Amino acid sequence: MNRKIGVYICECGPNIAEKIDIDKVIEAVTSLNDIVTVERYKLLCSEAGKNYLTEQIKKHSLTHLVVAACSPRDHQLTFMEVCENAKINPYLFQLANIREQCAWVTDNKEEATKKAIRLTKAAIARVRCHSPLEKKEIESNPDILIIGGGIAGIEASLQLAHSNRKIYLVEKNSFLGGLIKNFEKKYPEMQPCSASILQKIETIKKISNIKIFTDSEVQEILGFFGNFEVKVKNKKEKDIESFNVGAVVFATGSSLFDINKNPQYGYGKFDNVLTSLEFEQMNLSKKIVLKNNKTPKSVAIIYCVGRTDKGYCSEICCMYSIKFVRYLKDNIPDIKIVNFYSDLCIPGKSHQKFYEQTQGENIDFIRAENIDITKKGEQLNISYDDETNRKKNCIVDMVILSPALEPSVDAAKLAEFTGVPLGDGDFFAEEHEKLNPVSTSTQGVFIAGCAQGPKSISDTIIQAEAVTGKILSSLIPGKKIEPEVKVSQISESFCIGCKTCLDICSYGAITFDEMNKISVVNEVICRGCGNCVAACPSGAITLKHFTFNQIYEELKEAVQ
Amino acid sequence: MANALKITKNTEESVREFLKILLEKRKVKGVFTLKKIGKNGAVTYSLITKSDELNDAVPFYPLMPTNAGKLLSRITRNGSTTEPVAVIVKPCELRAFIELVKREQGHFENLYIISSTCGGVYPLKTATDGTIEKNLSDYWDAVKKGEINQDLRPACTACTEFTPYGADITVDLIGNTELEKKCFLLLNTKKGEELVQDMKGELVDRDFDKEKLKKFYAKREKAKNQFFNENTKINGLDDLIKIFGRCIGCHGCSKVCPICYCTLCMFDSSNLEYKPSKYESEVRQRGGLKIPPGTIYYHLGRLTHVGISCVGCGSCEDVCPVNIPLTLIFKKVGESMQQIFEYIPGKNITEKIPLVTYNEEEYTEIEG
Repeated sequence: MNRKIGVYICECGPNIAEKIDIDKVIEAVTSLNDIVTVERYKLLCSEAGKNYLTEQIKKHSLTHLVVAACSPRDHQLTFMEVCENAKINPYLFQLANIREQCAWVTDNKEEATKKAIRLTKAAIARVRCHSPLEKKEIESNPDILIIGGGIAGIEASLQLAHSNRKIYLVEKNSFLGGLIKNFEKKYPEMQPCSASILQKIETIKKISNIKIFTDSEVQEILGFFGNFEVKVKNKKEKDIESFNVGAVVFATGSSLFDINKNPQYGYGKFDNVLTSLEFEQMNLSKKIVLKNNKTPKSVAIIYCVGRTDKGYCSEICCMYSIKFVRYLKDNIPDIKIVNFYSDLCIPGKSHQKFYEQTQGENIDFIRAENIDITKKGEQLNISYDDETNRKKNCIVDMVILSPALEPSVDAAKLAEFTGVPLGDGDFFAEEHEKLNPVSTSTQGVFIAGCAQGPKSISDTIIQAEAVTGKILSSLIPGKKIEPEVKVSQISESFCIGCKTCLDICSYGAITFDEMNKISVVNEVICRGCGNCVAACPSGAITLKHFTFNQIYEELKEAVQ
Repeated sequence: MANALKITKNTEESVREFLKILLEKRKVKGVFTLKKIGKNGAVTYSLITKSDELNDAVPFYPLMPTNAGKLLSRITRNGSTTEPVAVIVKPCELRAFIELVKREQGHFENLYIISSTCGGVYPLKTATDGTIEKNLSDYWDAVKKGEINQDLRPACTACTEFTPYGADITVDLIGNTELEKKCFLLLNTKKGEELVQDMKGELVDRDFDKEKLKKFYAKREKAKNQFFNENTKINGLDDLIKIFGRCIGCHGCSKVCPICYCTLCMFDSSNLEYKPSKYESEVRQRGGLKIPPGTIYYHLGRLTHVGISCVGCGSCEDVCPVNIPLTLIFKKVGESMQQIFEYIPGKNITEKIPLVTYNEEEYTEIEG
């Protein structure tokens, strides 16, 4: 092929022009093979710059484009679009980063210029080895599988149901609502909670394009973004239903830390030691009483139970414990309440006020350590170390334990068969904690609510809405999906069938052809990370656009 | 509880007879063992189904024509044998086979593995010039006493993994002073116990002479350290050029290496064949180029590929026509890598190779 390579060096305002002698770079690369033109321009990423490039490509009938400018993270896609518009394949383009890795990292103009020349030469050497790659499109299924019928799952279902797609909501229990159903009121506004969730459940049942599976569990999820095959099993009737969806939401929620692991609290051993959930249920039934049916005169609430074991703060326990103080005072105005905390976590615009308004007569907050509960007659004795490290005791009628939240048991199972990794605390890992908090490393699988980590009802709803947004913007009915183009390819003659790549691939993109004893890449699932290429002992795998030859030629120039 | 079968006869004869009876009683349908071919001491691995054919079997002959791990992989790569087969191999051959099975290159099912404590093997050339036959009586004398033999493969002299892992039956050779009179088959697994049921001999309590093996280990370890010290003489690219510069590119070392399991080696393929432009650019840079080029690349490439699983059998060095000290380099580098990952190749079939083992918290000291 007769190559016609155009090289364009961006001044990036003063960013590059002041630090690099661009004319020297032009001089160094002008006489190289296949180079038709080398030009400098003020700001190539501007509208005028893009138009200029398009005209240049047409004017010189360029076949390949090299731009020496900024980081590919900034404008790789910009210039690839220019190529597409000018009718050259966008993969016959290479961007040399002479700003972040060159102009910005030294004051030595001479050195920077030398490096810019190397980087530009390397890009030219690389682009010579580029092959055009074609975009592919696949049909997508707009339907959604939501696992978990708690507030996260319900909210996501409601949000998505009005977008002309079918929602499959799978709940392991016989009822929807999850933990929230036990709560009388929400903090801090102390508005009724169970009523509002019941209303949502009624609404969801009426929407015809939401299909609800109760007493059911997901058994299998195969496939990829836009086209997952799902099997759901009804635990009671044992029958299995199969259907296809385009995206999956994990809203598996959380459960309480197993207090039996901390026997010092006397849970299960002494009467009147309750978990927070048991107290919520007791409060909901409007009967806050002791085992002997008498009304308690004093209650201790113990915060941070299991925090040391879990190694994280569960965010919501302080706030709901303070809510318990309100419950108790509302029901038994004379009651004495002692709050034992290790740190108070009351962030946000309204929580501090809620906490301050909760303080009052017969309400103590004690910072304590080494809590140990024993029985004292009909009552319970709490021994603890106070802030000055002195051993103290406190006698109460009832103890409420506020344990850490941990992922629901289903999370680990789901992680195992879907390959979506678990992160800190064994909650589902986000693709990026800050930048992509509701996506996972598996494209098309999202996480919402406590499946991702302990959080409040409002944060859970925010996440459910975020997931909805992610899905609505990426999985549009009728719109085809463009899978990654730079994917791995396995040579049938080189592959020895050792399955090393199957273990290496984090995306489950490689399967094994038992007939021919070779590995096969699913190009739709492959993200082009290149791990399999590095791991393959036989050199059977190449990554499109990062071939051995391309990297070799680029490196050779860069290190020359 | 009895854990060994004692046969009151010369050890090699006992095992030969044992194998014959296995075939006759149809406990196995085949025997995979070394067999003599000719008088100079040449032997080959054979898969034998008729008991008469076992007359020439020499299961513990101190020669390794090919690493048997590689051969077992050829037999079982596409599936296990349909009939039970007894397999008599050396410890490093068994370890090589286990490494291959981990990479889907072989199947264990239906194989009864018989191995032994191993006194090492002689270089292949001793079987072409006949010297091996003259050495045999000295060899077995040394094995009995737990001494290191002279003139073994350098890899064997420096081998500390002379006790097999994962064999169903281990034959007690090193330090068994009554080798000519008594044979002990130590039973390690249920399969091993099954195999000796209703066989000639006496079930007894027996273990290795651990003291003797410990002393033998110390001798081998000392020899290994001496051997590895040679390595300190190889320094940097200049020395690698000297050592690998004489490579004629026959790739014999990869052909015999049990861990080199690719059917089509990248280095034999046209993918790595230099194009004229590459010759030119290399020459432009250096002013001169060895032809064929890329010999260091080939050896270092092989080293990174096989190092973690190198069982140190020494086959590569044995077949090298230009005497490159491959054992020295591969065994030393291999063991250094293996130590980092606390990995003994072929020790445990259920332990995955380090390349595919991922722990969130590992090697944090080298993370960026």
